[in-house]
Amino acid sequence: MHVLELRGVSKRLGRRMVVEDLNMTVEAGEVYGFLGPNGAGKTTTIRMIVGLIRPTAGEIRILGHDVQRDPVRALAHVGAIVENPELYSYLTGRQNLIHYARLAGVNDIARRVERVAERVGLADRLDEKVKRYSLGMRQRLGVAQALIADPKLLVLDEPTNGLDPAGMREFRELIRALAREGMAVFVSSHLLAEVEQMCDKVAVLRGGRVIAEARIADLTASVGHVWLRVSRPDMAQAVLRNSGWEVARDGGRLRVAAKDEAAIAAVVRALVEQGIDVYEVAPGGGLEQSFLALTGESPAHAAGMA
Amino acid sequence: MGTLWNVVRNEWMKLVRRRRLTVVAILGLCVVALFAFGEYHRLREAQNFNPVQIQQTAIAQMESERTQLAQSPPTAQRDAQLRDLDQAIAKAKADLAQTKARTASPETWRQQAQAAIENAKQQLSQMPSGPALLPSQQAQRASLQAEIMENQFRLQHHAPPVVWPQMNSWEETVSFLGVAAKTFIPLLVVVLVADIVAGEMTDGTIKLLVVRPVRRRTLLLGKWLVVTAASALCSLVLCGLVWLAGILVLGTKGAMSPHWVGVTYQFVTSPDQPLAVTPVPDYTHAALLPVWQYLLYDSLWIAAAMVVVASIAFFCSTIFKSAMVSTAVSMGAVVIGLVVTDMARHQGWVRWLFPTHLNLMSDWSGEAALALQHPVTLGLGVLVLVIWAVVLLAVSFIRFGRQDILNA
Repeated sequence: MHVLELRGVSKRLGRRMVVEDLNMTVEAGEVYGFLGPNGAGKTTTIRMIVGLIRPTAGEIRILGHDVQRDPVRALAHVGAIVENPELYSYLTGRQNLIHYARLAGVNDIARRVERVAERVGLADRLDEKVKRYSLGMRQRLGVAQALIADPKLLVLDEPTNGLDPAGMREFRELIRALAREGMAVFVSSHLLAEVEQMCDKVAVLRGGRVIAEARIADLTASVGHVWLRVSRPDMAQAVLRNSGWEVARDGGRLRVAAKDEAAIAAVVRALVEQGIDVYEVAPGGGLEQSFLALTGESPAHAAGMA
Repeated sequence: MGTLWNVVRNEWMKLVRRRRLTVVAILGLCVVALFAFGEYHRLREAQNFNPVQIQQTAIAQMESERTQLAQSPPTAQRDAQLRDLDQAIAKAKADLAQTKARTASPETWRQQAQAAIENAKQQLSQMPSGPALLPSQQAQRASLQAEIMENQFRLQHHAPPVVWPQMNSWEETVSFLGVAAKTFIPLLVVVLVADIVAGEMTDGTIKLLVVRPVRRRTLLLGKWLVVTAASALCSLVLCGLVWLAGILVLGTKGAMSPHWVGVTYQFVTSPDQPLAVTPVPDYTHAALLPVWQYLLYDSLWIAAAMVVVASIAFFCSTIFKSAMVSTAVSMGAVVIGLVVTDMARHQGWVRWLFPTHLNLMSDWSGEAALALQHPVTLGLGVLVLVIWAVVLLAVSFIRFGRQDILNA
């Protein structure tokens, strides 16, 4: 059974189709990226998944339970952050968590609150009023409330908005750790780089429709080219060109078209056999390239997305 | 059931920590202080007017008038005036004697009450009776009967009237609460309730509330239970504090004074005066309550009416997304309702507005009917309030249950 399944989901607001015919499945232990520019319908989709909005057509199932028809059972296994996690600022962090734990039907509330707070690194500030929290602490509390019921599915809408680089990295690591423990994570973003670093799978949304879906591993595996730093660039260029590689020179570096990992290995072997030292092999914006190939769009379009 | 209990506990936790409760508490204390100060002022004023002194001055004035008149040349007119004055002076002296006796020895009120009963009975026996009475005569008969019953009640329950220089704190509390039930208390309830849903919409906290495995109707029901309970509790506490302030300023005398409930009125136009409407009271289903008991019922009925006010504010709070708009509209409903019911008070349809019945005790006592010049009973008042609450709550639940939460 899929943890999350969308089948033919559409939403009409007034005359406008916000999203149309979405079909997606998310499995346990998988981080699923939902990529698209602002206004593509990401937030609407997320709100439909967590039951804030009812779809005009189609159905959304969480662990087999329909979100509209059986919200209590479907949402029992969901933790969510929808846009900014707005919390009760006149309550303490602990009171906020107790509040949500009661609604989620958590059994040993006091223990669970402690554990979740520990996990997000908020344990020592838990009894302060949320209005005195910094933005980063609020984000942590937002994650804590999403994890309070030990969900099977975590739904996150633009979770790293407003985080500093260190916060972002810490957040990514937390998400990866949760996925390793078997949680399914559905995360929306407008940043390609973020999706690349965090997700196993990505769906690209544009104008309310999913225009592409792929595994990140497949995308990175089919890199377009690599950058090489070598001891004798001129000679290396000649050697590779003679062997039939497409080579370009950019200062001290070489840009070699290599479709997959086997090709990269062949390039390096060819150079080493000729006595040329290879200092560095770096993938050259390959994901972006293959991403563009995948979505079939011009780089100008992708700029707004990346 | 367990889920609802958890929702209720959550909502209570939030309600008692919100700033609005503090605001309501402060405003409530201001209302109590206002009452206490007003009563203190009235008491001081009253003490300056010693009734014995006032009556004595009046008598002295009439006597000097009489001596002047006696010196003028005798005519038939002068003699008639002198006779009138003599009568007036004699009556004033008798009144003064009564007043003196009452203040000097408190126990004379029994004889006076007895005398008043005899007097009223005598008047009744002298009056014509039967079905062909004029409306004014019917009204007079009824009020004489009422006077007899009141005095009998006082004698039976050993309830002397509270006389100068004291005031009856119970009666003062009742009359203040009559006004407060239509103005101050509903406004406090509105302040407390009107953002209970709209506030979460404005702050965006509604999102993380609705994504829980709890049905929306359960969330809404929990919120409603908490705000109505809090409103009822706040109004009871406020009534209690007003009573306490009254007692502290004016003392506890007069708890057994009689107070009517269940008086009904017929509004008749007499054939000779087609424009004047005479209210004819009917005491057949009426009863007298000691005022302390009346005050107790009053507080309970106010609390019940405030549950309805809370429901109306709650409705506004689910309809409007902005806490500010919701509060403004609910306040407007109370204030405009108050003005409309006052301006259009002789129109029959005013009986179907909720602000008319916020002081349910006046519906029961018959004062509301007298003010509206239409038959109004406690049953009608309760019915009107229940209809308002049920209809608006139904709309709230249907709307909140289906609503897309788009940009909260």
